[in-house]
Amino acid sequence: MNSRLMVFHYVLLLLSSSLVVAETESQAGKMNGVGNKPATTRGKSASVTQETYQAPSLMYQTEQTSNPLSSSNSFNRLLKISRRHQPPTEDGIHDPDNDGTKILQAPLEAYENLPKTPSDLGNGIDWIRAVEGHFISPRWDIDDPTEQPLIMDMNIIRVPRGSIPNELFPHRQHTMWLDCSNCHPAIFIPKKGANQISMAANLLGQKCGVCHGKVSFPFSECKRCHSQPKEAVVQKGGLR
Amino acid sequence: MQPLLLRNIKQVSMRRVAIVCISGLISFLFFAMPATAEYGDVVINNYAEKQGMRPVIFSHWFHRIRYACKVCHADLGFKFKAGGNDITMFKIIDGQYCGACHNGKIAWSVKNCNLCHSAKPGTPTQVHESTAQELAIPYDRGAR
Amino acid sequence: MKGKAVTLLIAIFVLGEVKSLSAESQTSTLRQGHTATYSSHSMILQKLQLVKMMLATSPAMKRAAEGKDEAIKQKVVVANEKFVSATDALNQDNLAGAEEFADEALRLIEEISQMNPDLQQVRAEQIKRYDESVRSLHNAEATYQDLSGRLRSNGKGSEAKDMGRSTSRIREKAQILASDGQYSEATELIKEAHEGVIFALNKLLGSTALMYDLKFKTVAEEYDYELARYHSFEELAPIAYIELRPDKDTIMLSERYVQESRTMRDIAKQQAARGDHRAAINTLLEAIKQMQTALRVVGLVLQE
Repeated sequence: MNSRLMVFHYVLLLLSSSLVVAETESQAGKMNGVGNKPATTRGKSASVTQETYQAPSLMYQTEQTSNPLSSSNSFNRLLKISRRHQPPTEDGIHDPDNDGTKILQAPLEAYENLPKTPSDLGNGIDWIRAVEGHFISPRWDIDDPTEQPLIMDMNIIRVPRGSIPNELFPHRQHTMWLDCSNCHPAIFIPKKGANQISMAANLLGQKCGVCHGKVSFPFSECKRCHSQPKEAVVQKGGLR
Repeated sequence: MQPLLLRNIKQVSMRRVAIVCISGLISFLFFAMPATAEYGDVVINNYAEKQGMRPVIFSHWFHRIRYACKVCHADLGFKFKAGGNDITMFKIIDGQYCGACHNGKIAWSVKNCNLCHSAKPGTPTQVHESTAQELAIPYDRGAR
Repeated sequence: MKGKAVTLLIAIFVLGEVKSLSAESQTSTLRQGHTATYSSHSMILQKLQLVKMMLATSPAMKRAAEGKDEAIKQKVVVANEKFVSATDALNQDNLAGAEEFADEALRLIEEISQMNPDLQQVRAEQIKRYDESVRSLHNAEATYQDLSGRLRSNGKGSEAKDMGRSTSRIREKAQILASDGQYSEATELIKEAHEGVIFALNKLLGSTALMYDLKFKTVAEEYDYELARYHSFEELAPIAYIELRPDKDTIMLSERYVQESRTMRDIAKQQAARGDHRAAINTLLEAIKQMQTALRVVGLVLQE
């Protein structure tokens, strides 16, 4: 009785683990890096590492084309099952019984050729690289299809209280997407010292949190903004 | 002899423990991470449910691939607030807000009700997976 | 007995996974090719309700009725006819036909709206966009003038003056156009000027980064800054209560911290009034810590 029970347990275990692998492979194959730590991709093509910056079109395509067996070798060692970026019928807020839901495009389909962020936070897409590498060319003006954004290249380094590194706000990446009037003066007064910005405000959806943490990349990665060393050296012409 | 006996006892009970643990782990992994919609999906339910329609879901990712933020948030006048825009079917058919593109020429027209009105009934207005929403369940009470 | 329980559990989980997997394959085949040929009865009914609402109460219909354009009025008549046909078809259970008529009616309503837009509203939007562009230009210019003053090296002073002069000339021209009612052209001019200022700003800045650091000239200035920082935390408390929706006891606990923090702020204000700014700043820092605790209690955990 005991041994039969054991055999039954083993069979069920085998079944459930094969289901796990099947599901994770179908997800892992679609979204490179989702649920997988960067370490797992290093084994596939030794020359491509996550740290070195590559031209956008090379970084993810080489991983897929260099080794034709790479997808069959993508065993999800950590058994990490990602349930993010689900198609609309399974994503938890769309109604699966609605006929329209079944026609809507799944995010992973659209994300296939877009450069991704290693952390997969938010959408997991590096939208700036997507535009600069001409993966997408979002329209800037509603009336004129050829108009290009008016990019202002002004970096602001803010020194917060505490030991957190200084924060660099780059106008360039923001003016690629937004108009001046979107932020100024409603959210940020365009004057030094006129805005009290704190992480508490950001997390509650004020200031930077009006977009970040809602539709732009979330606050989980401190280094993405707090990237400047605390004791910044004032170089000639470098910092004012 | 003694160590062998001990080993046998350990083997039998360890097997049981292992099976329970592994099956528990697998099921935990499956059920501890519920499926989530795409980040930045906005559910709008100002008037829809009251009129007997499913709430509307607006996907930022789909539109961001095609348009810069400025087009909707500066040119079309959308405010940065889920539910903060007074969008009605009248205005959409008139070409305001969503209707500026969803008129059958640039994107699908209003006759395709259920492509927009596709949320589960009862979903409140929200920005899905927003930080504030995540914070609403503190980590020590079960937030992911 | 333990074994049976474990077996049962595993069986339930496995069945659950099998079910979810088959559901996924179902939906994927649906997405691959199959689309519904027509909607269900209830959905067409809802669509007809929308059409009825549009025909009866839409502002575009009112404008069409009051207007003089015969073509539009003809379209209104046709739209009404389509609506009637759709209702009849639905009552006869001809779902495909009903949907076709309903879609036709909607298309006609859209055309009617687009053929005679609300001119007042279009104008109001143009004016709004003009005002916004003027404000943006003003902000950009102010930033440029401010920075060129700070970053000025020999010879750059004249550039700033030229910039100021050319933009004010363009602004005047735009103002004339705007007062004439030509708001779109005025906005275009302002946009060009704006472009010029941004271009000059980019050239001026080069690779310089602006440092917004915490350097104060006097202790009083630092006190003012800390007081403003305190207020920025204080106004977060009600927002946190609304967004994070804690229960009553948690709110009460949090408000106790808020009250304590407010008491400390009052002490700080008194210290500042006496001239002891250094002590006031320290008290304010303590008050901010209390406020942060109040926020942490309702779930806003900060890593500082």
